[in-house]
Amino acid sequence: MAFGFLFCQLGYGWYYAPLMSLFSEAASAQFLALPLLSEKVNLLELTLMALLINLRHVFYGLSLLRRYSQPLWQRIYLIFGLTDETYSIVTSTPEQEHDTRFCLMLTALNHSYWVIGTAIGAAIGSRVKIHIPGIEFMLTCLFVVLVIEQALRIRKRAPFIIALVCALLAGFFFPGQMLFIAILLSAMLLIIHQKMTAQI
Amino acid sequence: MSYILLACILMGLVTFATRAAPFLFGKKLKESKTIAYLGNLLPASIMLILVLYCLKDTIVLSFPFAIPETVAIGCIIPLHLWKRNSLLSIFAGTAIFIGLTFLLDGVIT
Repeated sequence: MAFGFLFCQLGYGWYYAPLMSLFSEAASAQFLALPLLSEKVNLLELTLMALLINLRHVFYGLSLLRRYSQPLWQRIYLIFGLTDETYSIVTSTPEQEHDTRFCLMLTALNHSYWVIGTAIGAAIGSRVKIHIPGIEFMLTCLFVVLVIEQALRIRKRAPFIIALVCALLAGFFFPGQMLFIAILLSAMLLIIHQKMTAQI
Repeated sequence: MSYILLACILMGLVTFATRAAPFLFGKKLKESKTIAYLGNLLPASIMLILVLYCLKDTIVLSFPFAIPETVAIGCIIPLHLWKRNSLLSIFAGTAIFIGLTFLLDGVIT
């Protein structure tokens, strides 16, 4: 819902919000796309950013290689809908008697929930015709909430220190390209950090 | 094709590609510690960068000295840790921000 509502503030047609949810079903990547789309960044940049934030999905499939061995068309849909939520439910429930049906139903349910939620949010957002000054602060609050959730999940300081340094550097030296440079730079610093801690 | 439609399609393709990768090259990926590490920690970095990005045009050194932003974020951190309700935190933070901006505008004029 939040995604649909915020999407309408960008000024594109409201129906593109559920369309994006229908095609990608990736909450974090879609939230990341909001500020990028509002600045009309080039599509290559958008694609690269979405790829970086979705990297974690590369590992979800690994533990499901055997369980997800349905006929191709079913498997394609299961893979398409392998979100954080679907992954955590599938991996925490044992294989069922009708496992394919269970996984397909679960995936379809999560997918429709996401698309319908987005559509409702977008419908509300497009009704708000008068511009409320300060409403864009919703996006800031959303990202603050997501930082808290990430911090509770990983319980490490390094990614946040790296992000802070990179954002300040990028904002200072490349104010027009801050987001792109900061994310690329922190990906590089995280790799260096991993190599250094692995050697000790 | 319009920019936004193309953006929707590209997002869908990239997302599907990352999810399908292990089914195509499972073995190679299993060995890559770097991708595992980045996949786990990079989203956290990106979220903080997004917060700072949203705040980049905030005026700190003159009126209203970023008071609405600071107070709003200062309130929703404990609120979110307490309730863990995303929609509540987002709406509360925005309401505080809009309210304070309005109040401080009244003070100066």
